[in-house]
Amino acid sequence: MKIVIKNEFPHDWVTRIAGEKLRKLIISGLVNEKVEVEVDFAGMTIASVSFFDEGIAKLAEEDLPKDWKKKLILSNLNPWDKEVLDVVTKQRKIEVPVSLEAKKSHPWRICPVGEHFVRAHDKKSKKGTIGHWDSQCRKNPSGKEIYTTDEINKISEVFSKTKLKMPNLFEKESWNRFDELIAGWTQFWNDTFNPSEPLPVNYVKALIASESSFITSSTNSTSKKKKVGKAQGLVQLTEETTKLLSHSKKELSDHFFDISQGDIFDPNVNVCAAIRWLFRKKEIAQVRLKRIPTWYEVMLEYKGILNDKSKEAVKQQTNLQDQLHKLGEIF
Amino acid sequence: MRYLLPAIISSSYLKNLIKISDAIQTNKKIIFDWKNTREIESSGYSILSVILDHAIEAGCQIDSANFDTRLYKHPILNQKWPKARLGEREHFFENSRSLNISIDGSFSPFFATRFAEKFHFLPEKLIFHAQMILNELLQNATDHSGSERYYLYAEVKQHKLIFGVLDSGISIPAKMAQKYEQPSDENYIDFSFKEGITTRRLRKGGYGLFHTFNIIKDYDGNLVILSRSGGIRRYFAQRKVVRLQLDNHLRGTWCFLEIKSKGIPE
Repeated sequence: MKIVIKNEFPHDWVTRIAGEKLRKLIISGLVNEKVEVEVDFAGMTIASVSFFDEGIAKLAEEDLPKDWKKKLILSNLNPWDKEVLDVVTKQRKIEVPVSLEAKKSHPWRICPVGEHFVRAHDKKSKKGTIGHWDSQCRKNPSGKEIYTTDEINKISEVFSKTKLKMPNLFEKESWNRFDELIAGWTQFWNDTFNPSEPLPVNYVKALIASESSFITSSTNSTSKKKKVGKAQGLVQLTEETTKLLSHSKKELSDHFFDISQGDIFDPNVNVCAAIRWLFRKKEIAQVRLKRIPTWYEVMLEYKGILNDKSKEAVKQQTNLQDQLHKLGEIF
Repeated sequence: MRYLLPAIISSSYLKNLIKISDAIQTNKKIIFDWKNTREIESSGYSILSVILDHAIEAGCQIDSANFDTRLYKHPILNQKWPKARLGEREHFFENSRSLNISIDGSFSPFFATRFAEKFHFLPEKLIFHAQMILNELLQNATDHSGSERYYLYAEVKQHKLIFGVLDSGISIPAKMAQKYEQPSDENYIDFSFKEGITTRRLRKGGYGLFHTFNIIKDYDGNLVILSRSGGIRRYFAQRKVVRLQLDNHLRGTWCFLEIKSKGIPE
């Protein structure tokens, strides 16, 4: 349950009456609906002791479930308001250890759920003046998750500082130079989709070896299906796939990409988008096979050769198996 | 009756203005003599707004003498004697350094929001704290006074931020007297600070004004509250309280504030 202060309190976000209304809404979520409650203060300056006292601090006097503090998230609170909230809760001698972080679909994400990242940029107005815009998160009208190239780059900066489960090494050293990206994005999408059997990081590395031999500028237009366009970059994402990953197409229900065809050669973007596409391919393979597919079968679906017995398909399968063997995977 | 207005119409020269405010209740016509007046501060505009509304309600006509057209800025000074009560819009006034607004009926955070937009050149933290103080004062006023209209002002002047809230509703002494007994109106006002710091009786609260006063103290500020026949001038940094006995009866409560901070321009 999300309470957006800007929408819920358009005329009064200051008084005790408004605070009381907020408290009742929170209680309704925690007690009646028994769900997690996020109170989103985005775009608001509250500047009111009364509102915080009545709306948040007095929750301590209510008869709430034991774990209510874990289920209440206050997001996008400005730092001055946070100070006021701290003072008010201390004054009532209670602790409300609420998370002030905006709720994100993954802790590595820069933007909260329903928003996308825009980097700092200069923009020329109609009058010709140039204005500077700081980096920011902007609301997605659909409320869905959208990944931009800028945020993808930011997320990789975050996971580069994290301990990751790295793939095994190929003998050829140059084939190991993207290990961090592979490990980071595999973990990111495994965390996001939480499959019963996580995608093994070695499978992604073997897929890349079989698709592009780790040549980032690799372009392949040998596909018989002309409409899919050229396969591009490390994981050989087709032009058609790049379009299907966008919000404008009806292929995905969430976790869309807003990336340009040019960005797809960026190894970071390519690996990120390709692994997201693997999770979509898993769904498609499940429909085809009428059972949960193995990740090897998902790889074949990605290559468009699941249930394909042709010579070319067998050759591709063998290549993939070889790469998996080299990484020590037995299946 | 003819009343000589002060040289500067502001919260600093209140004696005559309160006298006029009182005289309106018993006179059918009075004349404002502007001979000495050379400046109207933001607080002065709010006081004039209150007086004008009182006069219309009491059926007292106000005429002007020796009016300097250079003072002809605020809409309330820019028209013939109104037949009916002016709307909120007519009480709105702003220039590069000041803002005057009247709000009808109940609490509205509009003034605090407009304040933040207008005085964006002030330090962010100061804007936030001023918003907090304004919100709290207005909320307190709407809770206890039941006034039909509230008058708010803010002005940046001489490295100070000057702002306040005025109403013409039930006074603090009248409200306090419902529950407590004090020897004078200034005692009632002083007592209202001590007794839960608020006259609010609608809901249990109390921390709002306590925090407000702490903030004013941090900014080396002072607060003047006038209500009915008494008043309190409170210098927070010095912990000094001066009790004021008014010669004339004031309808409602007038609250004037001054705070100082680095970053407030001259």
